[in-house]
Amino acid sequence: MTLTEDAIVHIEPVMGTVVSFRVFPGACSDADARAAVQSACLRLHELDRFFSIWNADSPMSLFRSGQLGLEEVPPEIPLVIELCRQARALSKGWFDPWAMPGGMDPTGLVKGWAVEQALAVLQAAGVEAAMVNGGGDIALLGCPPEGGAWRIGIRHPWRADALACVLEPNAAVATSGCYERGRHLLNPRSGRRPVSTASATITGASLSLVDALATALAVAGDEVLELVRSLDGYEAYLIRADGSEHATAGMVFARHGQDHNTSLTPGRPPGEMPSPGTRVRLRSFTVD
Amino acid sequence: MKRAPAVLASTAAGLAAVLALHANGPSVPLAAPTTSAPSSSPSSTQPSSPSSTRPSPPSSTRPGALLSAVGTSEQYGYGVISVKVTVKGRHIVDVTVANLQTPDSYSQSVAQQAIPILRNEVLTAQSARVNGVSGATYTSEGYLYSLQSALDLLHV
Repeated sequence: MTLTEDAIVHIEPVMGTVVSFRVFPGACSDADARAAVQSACLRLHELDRFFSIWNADSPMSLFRSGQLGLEEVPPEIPLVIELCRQARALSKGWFDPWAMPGGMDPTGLVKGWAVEQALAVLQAAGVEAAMVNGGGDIALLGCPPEGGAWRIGIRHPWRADALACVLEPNAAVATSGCYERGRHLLNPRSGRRPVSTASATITGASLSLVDALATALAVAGDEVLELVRSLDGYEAYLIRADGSEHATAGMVFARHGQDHNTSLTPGRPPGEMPSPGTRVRLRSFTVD
Repeated sequence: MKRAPAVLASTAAGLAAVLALHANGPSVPLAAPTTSAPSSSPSSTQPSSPSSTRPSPPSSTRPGALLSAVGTSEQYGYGVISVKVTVKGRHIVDVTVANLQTPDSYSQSVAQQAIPILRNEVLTAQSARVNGVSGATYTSEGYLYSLQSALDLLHV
């Protein structure tokens, strides 16, 4: 475990949440890696200032109220709006920032995108491996130095101190649910908060899209699960309000009791419960 | 529930390394609490200095012996903390806060919430090693109750 000596740990309160960094510098010098963490935090605060819809004077707020045009705001804003448009199309409208009360609201995508930007700062500095966790939206770089994949616990929807399962995503993971701050979770077709989904997790390459799809999965449940099946490289794990679980076939669950150095093929046979251990058993589990 | 010694052992080893545990005998206090000021406050809008740890690997323990040790005081984002870990054989049997210095009640809450959560995670656990926890977005307050804050606190 001596390799964990190289971890730089940092927590940063920003964007109304706390962003946790785990950075393994690798060939990058310790000082450079620390400087990169500082830069990444500055970038997060900058993006928070651009995009906050809770601050009436932010460029995003001024754009929403029509006081600034798209050409007058920082270029990140039109970029994120375009990403929102693409995510809306990919999710067949189940992720729809334009259906939110009070005008276009990128909340369901912008935090994931910002966390991705923070990870990009670390990557550009030459950091070998890193995890950036923005209030539950996680972007991953490389592999942890102890070997094997990053192992990410999915919070149990009804217990803050328990995990529903442990996943091994290789780039990005996000979870949506109403048990924390779920104000952006509105069904764009009914205008109501979802009642059938307890927890919706997506993994994939882009945290922006993963974040948006997790929101879509939370509001639409099984319909978006079907949709994710058709997206190459993206997987879904759903806990319904009745406690039943469902995952797409390619979702990688960490095997219980397996040494992390040997978890090269961590897939789980259909029907087998994901990692027991700390897991509080839900009602049933199906995998297609 | 069937126990999983391999996982527990690796969790114990990992935590012990993280906590700079030197379990040479019972109740070995390793570090006097420091008096340095915490590096950040939650209301700050500027990034604070990253905190980090340089733990040394645990030394071998006699099987079955009940050992406890206090880790070195660590700069946690919200203050300075040292954690006491009790190990029996290669199993962690308890995790408590040995010393805590925080600038305000918010920071106090962070540490006081995080440790019981981690304790529960470790003890009920036969816990799977995790690098991070994903869940519905928490607020700064919600972070207090999150498993991620427990992992951050112990630099896991």
